[in-house]
Amino acid sequence: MRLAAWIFALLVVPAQAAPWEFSAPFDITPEQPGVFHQLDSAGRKHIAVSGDTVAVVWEESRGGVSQVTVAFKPLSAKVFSLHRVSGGATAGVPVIAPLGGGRFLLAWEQDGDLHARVAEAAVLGPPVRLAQKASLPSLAALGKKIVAVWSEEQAGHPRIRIAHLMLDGQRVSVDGAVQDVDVAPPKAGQLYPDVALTPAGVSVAWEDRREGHTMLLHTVSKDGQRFGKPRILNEQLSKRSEVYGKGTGAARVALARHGKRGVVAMWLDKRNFLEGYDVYAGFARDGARFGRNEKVQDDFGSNISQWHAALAADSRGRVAVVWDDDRDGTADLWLAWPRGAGQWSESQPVPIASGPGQQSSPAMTFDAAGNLHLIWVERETLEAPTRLRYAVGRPLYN
Amino acid sequence: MSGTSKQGRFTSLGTANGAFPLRRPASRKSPGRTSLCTRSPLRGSPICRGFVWFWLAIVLLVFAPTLPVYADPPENYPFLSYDDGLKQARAQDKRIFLYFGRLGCGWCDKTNKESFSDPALRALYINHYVLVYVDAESGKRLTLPSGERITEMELGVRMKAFATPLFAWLEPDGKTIAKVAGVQTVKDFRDYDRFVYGGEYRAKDFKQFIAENP
Repeated sequence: MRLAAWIFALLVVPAQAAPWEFSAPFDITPEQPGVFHQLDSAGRKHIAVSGDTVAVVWEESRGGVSQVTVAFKPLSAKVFSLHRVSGGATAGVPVIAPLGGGRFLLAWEQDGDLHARVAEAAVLGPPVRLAQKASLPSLAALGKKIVAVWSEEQAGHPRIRIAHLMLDGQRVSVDGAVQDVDVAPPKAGQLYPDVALTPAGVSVAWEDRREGHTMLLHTVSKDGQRFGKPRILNEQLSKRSEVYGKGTGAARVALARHGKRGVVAMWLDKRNFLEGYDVYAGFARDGARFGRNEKVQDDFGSNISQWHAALAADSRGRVAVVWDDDRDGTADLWLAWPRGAGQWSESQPVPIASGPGQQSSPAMTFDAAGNLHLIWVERETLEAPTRLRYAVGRPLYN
Repeated sequence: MSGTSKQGRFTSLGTANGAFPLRRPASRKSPGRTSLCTRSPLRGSPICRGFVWFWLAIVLLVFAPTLPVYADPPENYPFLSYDDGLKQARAQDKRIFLYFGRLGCGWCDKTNKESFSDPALRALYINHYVLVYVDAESGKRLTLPSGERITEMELGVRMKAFATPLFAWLEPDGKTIAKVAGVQTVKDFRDYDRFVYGGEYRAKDFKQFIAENP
């Protein structure tokens, strides 16, 4: 039976080949003793393309202290230029959003507060503190509209806040009042928010612990001011026990604009306890109400945990999901894309990020031509120093 | 229902006949006449203090089943964060017992209630180990002995924490000695303690140890 399954898989794989052909990868930063690169943030928005520039932001730890670095390169170039973004004692969880014309907005946590600054190639605008006792920022930009969401300590609980941002040259500031996304009084932690902007409004999702286990909640606002009552994003199975525990887990939701008005969500889901974390997704064609949850990975990835899932989508309806798992012995990157009617492609290894060593923690984005810009962390072993890698996937068909 | 995974043994949360016990419906009866005790001269009298305690006990009994039950570390155990635990383990040259749990996790809750509630097991583990708790979904940072700063969730990636709870016994410098996932009984924890605290792991693996020392 197993042999038949493998023969079937071998026959099917060529027909399911990834619709992107990846260029040879190269280092954004090479390996250095005692230096560890981290791609870990709310929404995993670590890479963006603006105009003809691609920018990557990450956290780098040395001796237990982290700082944030950004790197830029023209799309056609083979070398990134690196710039320190953060200051203070320690900083991390950075994200980036494209502002158009080669400009970007960066946000990160620094010494317990939230900071942001504009970046344009080698020129960084002044850092601005957006919020105190806040962490886990995420950003979205659409035309002149820019929003930031984050998790902020209030009355003993972290809760999700949103701010509209405005630019004055290279300076970013909050436009109007910072607001709660969920007006209900905080009862437990709200963490790891992500945000997407569409012409229909502002969509926010986050991890919510009020029910005693982590659920993913989603809400939407037409004007970005008043949000609807949050809805549960990850479908809840009936409880296995009325006595023990409160429910299954879910984590690290990411949102992106999909098509003209839609939103796609993607997250790690532990609804099946024999499969570790699985990758799930949902589509809100109207930007507001999500359809059924869809399992992204194929069955060959069952019985093994998926990690660090990242989402890329655009206004032309392209969607791709990438993650790492070690089904072949060590961590490799795997890619899947929707095939319609709730079905996803077979999970395809990213050939340039597979094989010996650890290839993990990916993030990716589309450019206007449909190229997939992919970054990841690579190391020989789990204890070894890391390097940050970059490659471009060219679309095979449009 | 029971099953196995490559990470360890899982035990059913159900009862012997396979059914899951239902939560007792909570009553919302009012404590009632306590207002009498707010009136002078009864206020503060032993009768009234007894009356208030009686109703307080009734309220707790009635509402206790509806209070939140989280799969956090078991109560009355001095669990530390990873960083603090590693510091303490090094300072005291003591091994670490690491509990990798998840908020709301049923098997963590079952293990807490059925195994960690054992006073002798509590005394044994407090005496033999520095206790560390890690939240499987947390973004809280910790620093590995290498100097790499990662989240608690990322520690799960490194430890291949396929499911929760995951229990690991570590050397004072953070190196893993043994790990096991799923519900563990008091006997299981005692067996691992004999294996780890007794230093048996230096010569054999756990399966061999248990086969020779059931």
